[in-house]
Amino acid sequence: MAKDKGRPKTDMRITVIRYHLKHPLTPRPLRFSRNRSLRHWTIHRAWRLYQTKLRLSRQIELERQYNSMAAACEALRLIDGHGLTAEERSRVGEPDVSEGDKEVGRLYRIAMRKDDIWKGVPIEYARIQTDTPPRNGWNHAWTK
Amino acid sequence: MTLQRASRPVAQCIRQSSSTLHARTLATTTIEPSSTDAAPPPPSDPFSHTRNPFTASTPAAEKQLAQQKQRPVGSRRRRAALSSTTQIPFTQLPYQAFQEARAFLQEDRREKLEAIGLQRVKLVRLQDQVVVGEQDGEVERRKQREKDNRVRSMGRRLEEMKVMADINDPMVKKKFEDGQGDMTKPIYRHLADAQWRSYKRQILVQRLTQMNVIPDVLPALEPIVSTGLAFPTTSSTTPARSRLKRVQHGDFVSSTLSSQPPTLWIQPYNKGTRLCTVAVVNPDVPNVEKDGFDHRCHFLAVNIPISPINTRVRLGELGSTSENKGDVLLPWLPAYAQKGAPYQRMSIIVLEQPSPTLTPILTTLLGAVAESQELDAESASQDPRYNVRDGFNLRSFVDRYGLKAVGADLFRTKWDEGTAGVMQQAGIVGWDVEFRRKRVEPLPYQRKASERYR
Repeated sequence: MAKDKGRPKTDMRITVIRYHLKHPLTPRPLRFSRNRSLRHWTIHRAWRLYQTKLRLSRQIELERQYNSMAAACEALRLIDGHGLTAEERSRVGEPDVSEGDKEVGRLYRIAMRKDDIWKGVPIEYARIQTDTPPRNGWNHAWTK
Repeated sequence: MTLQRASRPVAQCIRQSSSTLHARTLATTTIEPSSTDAAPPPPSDPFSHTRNPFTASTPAAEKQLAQQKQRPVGSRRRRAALSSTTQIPFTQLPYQAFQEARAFLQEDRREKLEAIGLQRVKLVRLQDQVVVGEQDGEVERRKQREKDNRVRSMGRRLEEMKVMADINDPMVKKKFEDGQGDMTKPIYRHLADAQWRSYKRQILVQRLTQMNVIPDVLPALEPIVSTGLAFPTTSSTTPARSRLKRVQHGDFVSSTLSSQPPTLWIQPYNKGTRLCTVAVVNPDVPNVEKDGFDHRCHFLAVNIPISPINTRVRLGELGSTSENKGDVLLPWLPAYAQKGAPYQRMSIIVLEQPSPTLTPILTTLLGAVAESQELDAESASQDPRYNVRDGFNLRSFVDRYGLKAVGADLFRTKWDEGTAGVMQQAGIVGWDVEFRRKRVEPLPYQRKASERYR
């Protein structure tokens, strides 16, 4: 031990790399000829390009879906209980917004509630979506 | 004759399919090589008596080739391989994954070409738009600036798209690797630039910073053009054609070699011809009085046209003939370092001359270089600051003419046996001067009294 201290210590990583490269069971590195390596390169480039296109198309599809959902929520936010926006209401001649304040965007606010969502899926999700949902939601006291 | 002509497409089809079926047999008929890729050289046809230097691999064949006074091309293994392979051009090799990949890449290239066409149309339409507003108003100027920025960005995007269209082509890669890339095409310029930046440019910047050329000669330098340097060796046997000795960045060059003006290769990677200035500055001239170093200019030339295909600049022949355009303000002075002085760095700075301000943005489009302004060599040679070698200030020169440093090279000189001779021949004063280190008196050392401090 005392004699070893004089020599510089070789890095263990070098030892590990040499072990794995020179092990008799390690397959030897492939050496391609010029044409073979060019073909390999072409196939690799094509595959990577294909994967990139796939990924981008998936990304775009997700973005499109998200934007569509965001647009739908925005439209819902501006709609009152009768399905009219403020502009349409004034055109039709309905009474002013002060009465409709709670109604405008009510369904939007209900949809945006995030309390207790996934700890047990709420029963409301089992219902088919309708254009005119009832105000009372689910009747838990219903018996046959 | 007409029958032959009529049956040619059918014959081609049959020949094509037979070649793929009999891929392993020796092809005796040659397939017409397509225009894009070169087929390997065809085997000699059975009735000729001359050996092909590409395919002669057996001892008898090699002997016959020697009798024909021809040398074999390539190793024996290569020649044997070539003689037994078919004559299918590389792009038509019948490997499924390769052909599928090629088909996919060609489809992608078609899409990219369409996109390039659309981009060109968009660009032209944008340029045709006129910025409306009150004359010389704040808003109008801002809108004009925004429009110029958009035109520039679109131009850059167009250049990128051109490169992206060809970058997946194996024949382009092969051509470039073989050194046959056409520098007028953007893809080859891009590949050459990428190759230079991956290694040689890093070496150059390392040498420039380690040798402190960057803060000493110029405050900052980002090399955009690659440089190469070679000095002519005048051999007594061939007086007409002297050979060139390449010099790597930062090498020591012997004084006899650097007494002749060198050849500088300047390779830009964007299209267009531009005018450059080359200045060779030595920042290590010893000055005994101030106990420091001065700058000296060994060479100064302006208005040298450089383009991606015209890269060679023979510093000794600039301006002399009508084809070597360029104005030499200070001719080549051999590099010398007197005896006893430390080695001296000789920096070669390549500066791009500015474009005139009246050039519309149209010519700076697509990554091209605007027409450079000619520097007035007459007035520059009259200017007392720039027509003397000693004390030449490159920073001042750059500021005065609005130059931009685009490239650099470096070599070093030290005293050797030939320096005195070179200095005498060039008529430089001080060939017999020797520098000596000034003896520094040591600080007085107080010896301590007892034995313990010995």
